[in-house]
Amino acid sequence: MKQAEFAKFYDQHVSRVYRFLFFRVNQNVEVAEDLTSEVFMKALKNFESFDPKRSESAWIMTIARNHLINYYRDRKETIDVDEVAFGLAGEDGRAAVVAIDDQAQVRRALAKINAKDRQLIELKYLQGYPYKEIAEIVGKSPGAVRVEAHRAMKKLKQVLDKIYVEPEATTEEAAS
Amino acid sequence: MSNLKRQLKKLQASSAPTDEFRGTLRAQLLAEHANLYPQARGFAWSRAFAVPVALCVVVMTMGTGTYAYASPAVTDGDVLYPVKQGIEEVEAQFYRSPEAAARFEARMLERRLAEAEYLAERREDIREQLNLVAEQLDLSLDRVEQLQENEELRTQIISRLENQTGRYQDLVIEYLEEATESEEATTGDLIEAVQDAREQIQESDLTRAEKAYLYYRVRPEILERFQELK
Repeated sequence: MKQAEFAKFYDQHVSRVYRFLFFRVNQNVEVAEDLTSEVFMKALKNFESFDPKRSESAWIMTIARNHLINYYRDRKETIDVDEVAFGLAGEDGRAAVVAIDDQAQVRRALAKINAKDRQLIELKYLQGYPYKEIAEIVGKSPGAVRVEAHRAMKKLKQVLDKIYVEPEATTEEAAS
Repeated sequence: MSNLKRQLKKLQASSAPTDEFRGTLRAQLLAEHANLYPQARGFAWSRAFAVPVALCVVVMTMGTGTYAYASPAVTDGDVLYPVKQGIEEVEAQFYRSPEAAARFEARMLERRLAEAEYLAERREDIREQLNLVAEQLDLSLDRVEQLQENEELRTQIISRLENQTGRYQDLVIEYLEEATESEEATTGDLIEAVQDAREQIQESDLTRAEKAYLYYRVRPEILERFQELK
């Protein structure tokens, strides 16, 4: 396996893996970087046995998901990697961190929609996968993915509109 | 919806890994690669390109290969379609720059459209081919978005894409108007989103232009992407 082949694989997937992890560790940059490094080390050690007929995207995302589950398990936490996505820093049941800016509102809205819709939006609009690769990751046809992603965006917009119109009480308190 | 996509783009940009992290990790991984696989370090450019170039030459000089590559009659399901796909995949390896990649994807869109129009003329089922056209349109739009510095080429390709999208709309409307009830019962996910519009189209006295607009309403993401690109 040539170095250049792995380098190309890394270049194509590093940002996506990083973002996947970043949004599931409360946007902690240090943790996301550590986990990303570990994921690619695992991928490097197993690259020789990777079947080129398989989807590279699906393969590396599976490694990332499993590694994330192991990370939380080592911290004595059992999590659902899709449910924990986009949780805002500090929102752990103890004290909610109030976020006023638009990006935090989008993250809040993403956390409120169902996991399947959230996954499609994340894969398409945050990680930038084309529909064909998303279809390989989720195991559906590209046509189905396109339709479902569009519907997911409509639902996200409805949730986001509601957040802007009805800010949470904690937001109002912080603003006053 | 455009505003939401812009917000998601900002979120995407703000959640990117730093260049420093990416570069450092890359160097670490390649150093580790050298430790793990000490024999497999070289990258011979001549070897990398010799095989695909040879394949192209061999296939293209064969009459079958040339026909498969060029003809819209060779579509998904045809025995020669794998040959066509293989040649296109090899060809794609040569187009690295954003400009070359954008031109290549626009050319591939033209091919998928020509195949769909060929099938439609023969009154064959174009549902799967429409799916391929939509995917290729998506790829083309992705490539055009990356043409930040070449305004002239961007304008040229967008103009071509607008024409191609119009042809795609025509094919979808034609398909919707001619699909029978039994086809509708087994229709795949592709036209699930436009079935509501189909009922309205069938029951209405809309002009062709109004029907096209209605089609855009149920596939707004394509229209929005054009609006964002302009």
